[in-house]
Amino acid sequence: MYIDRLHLRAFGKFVHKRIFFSRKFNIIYGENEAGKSTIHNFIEAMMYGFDDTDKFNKYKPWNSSMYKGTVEISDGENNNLIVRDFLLNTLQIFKMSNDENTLIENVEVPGEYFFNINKISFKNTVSISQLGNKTEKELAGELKKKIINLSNTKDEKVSIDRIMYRLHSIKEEAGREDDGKTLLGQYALRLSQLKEARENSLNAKRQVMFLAMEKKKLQSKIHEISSHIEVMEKEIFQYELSLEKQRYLKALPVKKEIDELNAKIKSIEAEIINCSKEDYNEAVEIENSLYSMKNDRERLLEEVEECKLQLETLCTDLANKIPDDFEIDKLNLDYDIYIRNNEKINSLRKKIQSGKDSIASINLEEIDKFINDYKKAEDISRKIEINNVLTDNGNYELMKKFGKSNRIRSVLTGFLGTIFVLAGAVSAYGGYYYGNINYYYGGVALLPGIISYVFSWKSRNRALSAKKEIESMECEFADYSLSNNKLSEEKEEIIKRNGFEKFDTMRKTFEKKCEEKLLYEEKIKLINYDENKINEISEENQEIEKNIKKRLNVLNLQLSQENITAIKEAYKRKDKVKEEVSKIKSRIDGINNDITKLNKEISYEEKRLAMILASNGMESVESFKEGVEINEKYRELTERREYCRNILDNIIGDVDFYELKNRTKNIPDEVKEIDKKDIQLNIFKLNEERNKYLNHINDIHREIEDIEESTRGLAEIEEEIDFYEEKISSIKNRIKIAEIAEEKITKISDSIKGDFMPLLRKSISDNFSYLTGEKYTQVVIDEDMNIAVMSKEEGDRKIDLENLSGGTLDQLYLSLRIALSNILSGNQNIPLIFDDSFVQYDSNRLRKSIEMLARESERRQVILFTCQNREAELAKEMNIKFNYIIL
Amino acid sequence: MEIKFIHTSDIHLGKKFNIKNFSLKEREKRRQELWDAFDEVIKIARDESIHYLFIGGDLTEGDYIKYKELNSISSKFKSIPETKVIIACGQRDPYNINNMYEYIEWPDNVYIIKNTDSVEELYFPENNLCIHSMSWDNHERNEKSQAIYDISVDSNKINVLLLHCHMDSKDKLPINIDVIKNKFDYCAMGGRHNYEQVNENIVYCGTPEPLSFEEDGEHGIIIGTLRKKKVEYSLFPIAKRKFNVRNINLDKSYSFNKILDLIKFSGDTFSNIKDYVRINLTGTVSTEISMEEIENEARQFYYYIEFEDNYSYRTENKTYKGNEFNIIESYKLQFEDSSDKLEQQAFKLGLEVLRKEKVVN
Repeated sequence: MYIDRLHLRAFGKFVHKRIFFSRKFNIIYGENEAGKSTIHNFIEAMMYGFDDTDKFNKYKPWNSSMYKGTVEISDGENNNLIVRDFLLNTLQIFKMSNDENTLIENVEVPGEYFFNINKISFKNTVSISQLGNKTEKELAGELKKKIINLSNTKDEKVSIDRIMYRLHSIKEEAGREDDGKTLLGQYALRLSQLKEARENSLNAKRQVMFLAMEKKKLQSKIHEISSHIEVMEKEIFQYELSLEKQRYLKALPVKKEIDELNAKIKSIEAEIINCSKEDYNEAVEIENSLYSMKNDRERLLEEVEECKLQLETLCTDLANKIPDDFEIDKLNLDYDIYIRNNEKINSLRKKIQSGKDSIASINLEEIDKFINDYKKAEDISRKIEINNVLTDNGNYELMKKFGKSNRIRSVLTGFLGTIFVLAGAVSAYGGYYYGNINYYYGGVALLPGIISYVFSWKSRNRALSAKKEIESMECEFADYSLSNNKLSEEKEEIIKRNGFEKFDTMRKTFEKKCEEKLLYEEKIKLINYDENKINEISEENQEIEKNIKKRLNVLNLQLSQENITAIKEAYKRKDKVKEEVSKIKSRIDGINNDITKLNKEISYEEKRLAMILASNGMESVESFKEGVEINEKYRELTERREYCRNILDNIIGDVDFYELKNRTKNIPDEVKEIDKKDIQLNIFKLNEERNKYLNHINDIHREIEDIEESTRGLAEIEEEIDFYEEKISSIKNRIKIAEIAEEKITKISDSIKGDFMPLLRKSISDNFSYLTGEKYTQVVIDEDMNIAVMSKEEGDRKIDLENLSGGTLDQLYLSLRIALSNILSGNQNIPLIFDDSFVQYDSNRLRKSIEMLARESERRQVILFTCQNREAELAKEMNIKFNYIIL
Repeated sequence: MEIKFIHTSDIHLGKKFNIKNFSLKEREKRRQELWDAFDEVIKIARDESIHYLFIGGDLTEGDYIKYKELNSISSKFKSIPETKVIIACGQRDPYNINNMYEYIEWPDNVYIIKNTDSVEELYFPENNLCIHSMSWDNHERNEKSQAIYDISVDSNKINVLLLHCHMDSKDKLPINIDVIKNKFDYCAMGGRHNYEQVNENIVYCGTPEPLSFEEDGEHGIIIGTLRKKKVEYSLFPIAKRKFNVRNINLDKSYSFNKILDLIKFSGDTFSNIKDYVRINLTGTVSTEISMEEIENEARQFYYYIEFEDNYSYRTENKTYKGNEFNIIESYKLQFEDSSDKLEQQAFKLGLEVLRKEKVVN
């Protein structure tokens, strides 16, 4: 068969790519990613379709909506066209002739149709991918294995030995029933044990059944005994009932009393309050103590009141008002003075009064008039005398002398002064003139000169005034003589007016009158003195009185003798009173403290009482008392009832009275005596017997339990028997199946060995011989599957595969593949496709491979995909013809 | 007064299980679950203040039940003193010399039907209820149908027939429905393991817990009320697990995953993790697919699953002009047209070995 032309309408990266192959040797060169694999896969996909969707998707064109192509294939004579659309999944095959193309129908896989091998065989034979860089030894071993496997199983990968081993081991694993070491033997053993166990279990079951029957028998015996016992017990029962009747009769009055007590209790029950007697006693005690405490408090309060009264009295006492700094002594002193002064004033007043009384008879005016007249007369007499004296020149002469002396003195001192002044002026001039300082000293004479002038001036003044006096004196003299006459006349008139004739008599009366007046005046003076005195004392007393009043004001008292006396006395007892006050105050405090304490205690006790009352639900101690009394009564009643009940219990025991009454209702009052002991003994014996049986039954139960415990359940055992029987049968079945499989496979293998192996051997030999240029004649496979080749050069000597060179082994490998493809396809001469098969080969081995391919291409089409240009270069070098396609 | 009743039968306490694929542990567990079902019945009777508990035979497996277990049953009945328990003996617990019921001390509320040749009548005046019943005396056969037909009932009473029978059989106490349907107010039947309403007043309650793959569907007890000529009841499901048979028809074009999914999603997930599931695989499977692996894979999604392999392997119908290359293909050819089960199994085994051989390499 020849692939003449490929048309990749749209496949992978190619669109409308056409490739023409020669029918001999084709080398397709393309670097990596150039599309070699795409073309290789295109051929495969066109011939066999896609295996899986991954590959389908991989080559789905991304730059075209189509996904199809055509392949022209020829067997040398007939040309065929394969058209495949991968998208639509359509396939058409046409037989081409010059006239027309005819459609070949019912072809699903063109590869199988044209090459007559399936895809797996195609891949395993003519489509050759990269060959590993194996050593000769490895390659020889692999080849040998492949040939052996192929000889036995038609599959280079399937080893008949391994298959047989596996099938055999299935049988081996199962083993035999008589071999205890194998599974089957183990199962068989187990089965026999189980069957034994089943037998045991069945026996046990029978035993249990027997025991159960035994038990049943015993139970009927027990039943019998029980009915016996029942009869006897009934008899005793009747007897006991009559005894009970007796007890009932005895108990009846007690019960009655209980009922009465119950009624009483019931009647007071409603009133019973849950209160404690102890609490009540305590409450009473508290109440008593409260009473006495309150009394105490009353008494103390009274006492306090009394003290307060006392205190009040003391407080109103004057003594209490006297301040500490009160000057009592001064007051006393002042008051004494005050009194004394008053006395003095009184005595003085009396004295004045008596003085006044004594001078009341004297007419002072008359006396004064007489005296005045007399004095006038006397005065006139004196004036006459003076005038007489003045007219005497004694003074006049004296004055004249004095005037004259002072004038002379004035002239003299004036003169002296002038001398001194002149002397001084001369001396000063001399000094000025003579220029001698000593003359200046003479200037001092000026001073006495000035002094002399002053004296002179004074004396002159005196002389002037004396002159004036002399002149006035001369005038006076003239006046005096004139007045003297007038005066004498006046004098006479006065004497006469007083009834006197002469002045002398008048003088005598005058002297008397003067004495009288003197006395009067004396007395007036005395009175005045006394009055002054009174005034003085009064003033003093006013001052004292003011002081006293000031002091008394402090005490809010008026000035009186009583008050003073009172103050005095009060002052005396002042300290005592104070002491008394503080004493009473502290007493009050003390009592108040006691009262507070007492109050606290009272309140505490009251609270305690309230608490006790409250805890007992009482409002007052009285109600408490009532409650306690009721309780007491209740207690007494219940105690009595308890007592009665005890008596009743002693009589009737635990039995209910009414039950007893009911029970013995129909029982006669008399007791019918029986031999109870004897009957009881019988019952006892029967009970013993029954217990014996019961024990026996218990034993049976235990025995049954033991048996069932110690034996496996029959169901379980039989299930296990079934299980193992099933296992054995299935294992046996499996052995049988394995045997059948073994037999069939052996048969196939034998037939392969018989039919296929000679064919394969011959075909390999032919191809090997052809590829080696008849250097080796044939491949030999003996019965033990030893493989060797016959070398023509070495005189048909057998050479083991291990001794062949790499190149020769390659030739053998290719021979094997070609042989297989020939056999499988029925010598269809399917094109050989190499895809980068020799990449790892060195140039020497590659040369041999190219030579081999060139040789083979004489017989069939060879397509070599490569990414190297070594192959083409070598082929050129070796003068080998080839169709070179560069992608 | 309305009588409240429970009708159950075929509990088979102590049963020996012979389901081939059940592990020993599973059988033990299932046996315990029967006891649990019995406890549940007692509980319901107590909670619902049931007046009568009718047990239509096969309460226990006579050959396998232990004395101790019977005592335990007795004490459980004792715990519901208000409920009167009427026990008819069936095929698996026939009342004969070997029946241990006779040797157990039953409480007063338990009435065991001991008549095996004639019909026994139990009358409960407080409810005016008359129960007619007859027990079996052997495992095999019972042809005493006439005794049933001969029952004469007092129509003033409420009449109940309690019977373990296979109506349509020949020798397992066959009964003609027409004869009994008008006689009784209610026929509490036992002997069939699936719930079945034969007539309005004739009911098979089925087993409260199913016992094999033949007993699929709902299982429980009947709870109802009874009056003269008026019975009302319903099936109250109490079964912990169901037996579930599913059929899956395969085709040779199905892939590994498709078959696995078909099995995986064949029922609801809750059922899968609780129930016993049997998958009946029919149709054809491609020889490329290892069913053994699929079945192993599928087990993880189920509480219990077993397969009935009724499918056959089919090879692709391809012939080649030359020699058949592949040994597997040759092997397949060897078994072509073979329908023998053993051969099919041998074929599967050989195929597995060959396939593994290829995979290993």
